[in-house]
Amino acid sequence: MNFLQLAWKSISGNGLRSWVVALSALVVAAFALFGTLLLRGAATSLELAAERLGADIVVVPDGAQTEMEGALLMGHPASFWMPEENLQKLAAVPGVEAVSPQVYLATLVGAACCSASEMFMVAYDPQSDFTLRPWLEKTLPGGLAEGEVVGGDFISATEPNDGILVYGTTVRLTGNLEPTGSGLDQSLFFTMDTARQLAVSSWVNAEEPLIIPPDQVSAIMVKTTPGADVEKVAVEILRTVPGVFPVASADLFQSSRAQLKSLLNTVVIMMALLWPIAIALIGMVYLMAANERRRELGMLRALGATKRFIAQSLLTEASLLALCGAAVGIFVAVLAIYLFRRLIINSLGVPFLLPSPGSLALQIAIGLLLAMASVFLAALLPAIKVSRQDPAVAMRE
Amino acid sequence: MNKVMGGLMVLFALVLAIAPAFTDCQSHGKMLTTADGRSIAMKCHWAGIAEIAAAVPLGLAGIYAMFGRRKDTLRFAGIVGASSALMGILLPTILIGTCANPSMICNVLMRPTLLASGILALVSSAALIMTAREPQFAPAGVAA
Amino acid sequence: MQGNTMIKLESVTKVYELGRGATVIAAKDVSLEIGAGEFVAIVGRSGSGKTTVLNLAAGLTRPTAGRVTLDGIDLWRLTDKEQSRLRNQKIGFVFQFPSLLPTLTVLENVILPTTFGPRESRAAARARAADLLERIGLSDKINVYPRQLSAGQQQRVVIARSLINKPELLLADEPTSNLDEKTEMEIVGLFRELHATLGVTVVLVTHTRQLVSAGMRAIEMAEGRVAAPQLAIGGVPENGSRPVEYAKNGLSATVAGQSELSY
Ligand SMILES: Nc1ncnc2c1ncn2[C@@H]1O[C@H](COP(=O)(O)OP(=O)(O)OP(=O)(O)O)[C@@H](O)[C@H]1O
Ligand SMILES: [Mg+2]
Repeated sequence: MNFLQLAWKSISGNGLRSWVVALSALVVAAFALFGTLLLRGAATSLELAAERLGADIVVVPDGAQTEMEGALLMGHPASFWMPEENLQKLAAVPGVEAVSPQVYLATLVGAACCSASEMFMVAYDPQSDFTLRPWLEKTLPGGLAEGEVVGGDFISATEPNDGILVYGTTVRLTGNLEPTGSGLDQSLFFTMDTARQLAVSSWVNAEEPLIIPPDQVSAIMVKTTPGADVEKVAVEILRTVPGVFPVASADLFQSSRAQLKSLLNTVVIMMALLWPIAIALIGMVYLMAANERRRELGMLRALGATKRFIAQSLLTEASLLALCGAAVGIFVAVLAIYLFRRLIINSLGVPFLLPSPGSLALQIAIGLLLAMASVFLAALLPAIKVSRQDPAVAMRE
Repeated sequence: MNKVMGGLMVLFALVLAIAPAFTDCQSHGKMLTTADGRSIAMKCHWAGIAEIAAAVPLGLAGIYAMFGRRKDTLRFAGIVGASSALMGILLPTILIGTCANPSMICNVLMRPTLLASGILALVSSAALIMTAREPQFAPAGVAA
Repeated sequence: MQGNTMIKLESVTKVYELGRGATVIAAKDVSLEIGAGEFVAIVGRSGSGKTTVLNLAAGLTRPTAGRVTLDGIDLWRLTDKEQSRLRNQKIGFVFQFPSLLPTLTVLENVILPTTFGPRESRAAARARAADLLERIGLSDKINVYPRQLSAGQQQRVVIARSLINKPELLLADEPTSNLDEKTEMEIVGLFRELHATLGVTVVLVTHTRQLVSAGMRAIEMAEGRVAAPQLAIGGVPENGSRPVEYAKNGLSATVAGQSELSY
């Protein structure tokens, strides 16, 4: 028999105490993991969305910034327009290297249930495009032909032959992009030509026509010259081109970042409250348990256990409980995040992407360690105190 | 241990049985409209109804686990609980499934709730079976 | 080994602090010697310091003054580790209170002390424990939990546990205090047999004077002092306290059906 076994026997023989300690560890671990997973997932998703957009500055009509972010991040349908001639004006701004227009369209809201989902559609100009091409090319080296679309991760074809019915016209889904956790996952990408063709045929085929105002675009992607100060270029755009609002990529998704920050604060505050309470609770339970077991521990000393052994076995007991509790807590947290991610995305208004297995494993390890360290810390003082006491006194209880 | 596990099984059984009534598409006023204009319930609704068939044996097994004393009673309760929990997981995923649209309420709320309860009930049942094992204590050197 | 001194207390005083300045003198200037291989009884009223003397002898409490040596070793010159090792290997304990761990089976309880000793195979420890349990007539209770045993059976398990590491010294603190008279006699008989067959030094604390049999050395404690270091059974104690009653049948009592005991 070794002291691990002894600790285990003691745990299973002392129900209530063990449950309290394990449960505290469970709550701490579950909460810590849930919080960090959520925050990390949201942050990764935001970065990924910004990166996928691939522009240094996104120029939208003045007042449409929130709508644009809602479309890109959450997939909320959006529609806003500005004159196409802004392209030339922007290209003339010093520090701008390239510009490319995009048109944002939304599918019919309230489409029949259990058919294709609500989609956010992005039409781009293949001639000037520099933002979509790099990652479109991964999926589709040849580029998109007319009538062909590329979908985000959630998009799936419902008609035969990879067809998707959009405004009464069936387009062919040629590939899907990797998930970002943001609205881009339910977006459909196609060329301007496809968009115009859809608009024309929608008058005949669709219940409601698709209207693309002539000589209008939704947004303009701007690439700055290497070495240029993006912020300065943005200010210059604001000054020289009327009616538009430039969003530097670093400032993109400001509202989501703010949301994320308040989420982080909430998690930090909750942890700051929860953690000491858990440690104090576990410490108290251990002090009580150690006092309750004074005679037993004194007796073990008489049978030849060293002070070190006593302290070690108490700490082992605590750590085992912490490990079990934390493992369950982490399981529950990961399960909850994984299953309820859509609900979380919808209700918190931040995008979310489940982290890669590697980073998930790392966070689980950190969560386990945190819970074990808390319990260890909480049990350390009682363990040392009890191990130091005079066995003769301890046995007299 | 068996009391806690049994309690959890009853709890998850209640969730399995009750949650669909509030989280399927029908409860949020969405029905399928057929070509001739009639409204019929969608399959997420039927998956939710079918969950009751998984929840009843799970809950009963949980009650048995809470009040049972004999090891084989507990083990039996664990096995019944585990198989009904598995049923609870399979119904909204493979056997019946939910609506196709991933952003619909049944997929956002009902399916995850059912899966979470099912998985946790499965784990509780497994823990119950583990604790109700026969003590396999064969001290070495005593046999002789 | 016979002839050596096993336990030696030299003017040992033990003062317990009760807090708020109050103190209790549990042992006052106690000097005594117990030779290896002796069978000694310690008698005295409740609170007279019997347990304190045993604790001092085993190094379970540090004397306030005086010196304690065990088999020639000054106990309080040892590190905690050395002291623990010595207790583990040399001393077998039978406590005044129920001391089996309720979460362990009988067999696990008996091999508990080997957990603190030098490494040895599980099988060896188990075999020894099974052997001891067989000798005290409990081989059919090996995998049973202590609560399923009678008080007398539990005490016999404790005795088996005290013998697992083949100690040279057995310290038994009122091992029969909550047993009926017949079982009491059986247990004392078991100690006598252990003493006779194994040659262990036995120190037996009791306040049942019937247990002290003729020819046995008895030390009487009173108010923390040694009242009589060599109580002559049947004689009148030097300090004039109550005369010691004779043991009536302590000698003949042995555990039914048990024959020889040896390590
Ligand atoms: N840890 C302690 N703290 C305070 N007082 C103590 C302590 N241990 C013993 N005493 C006191 O020392 C005295 C002797 O105690 P001890 O336990 O040695 O007596 P005893 O002869 O074994 O009695 P009993 O027959 O009741 O077991 C008693 O008055 C007791 O109250
Ligand atoms: Mg005593």
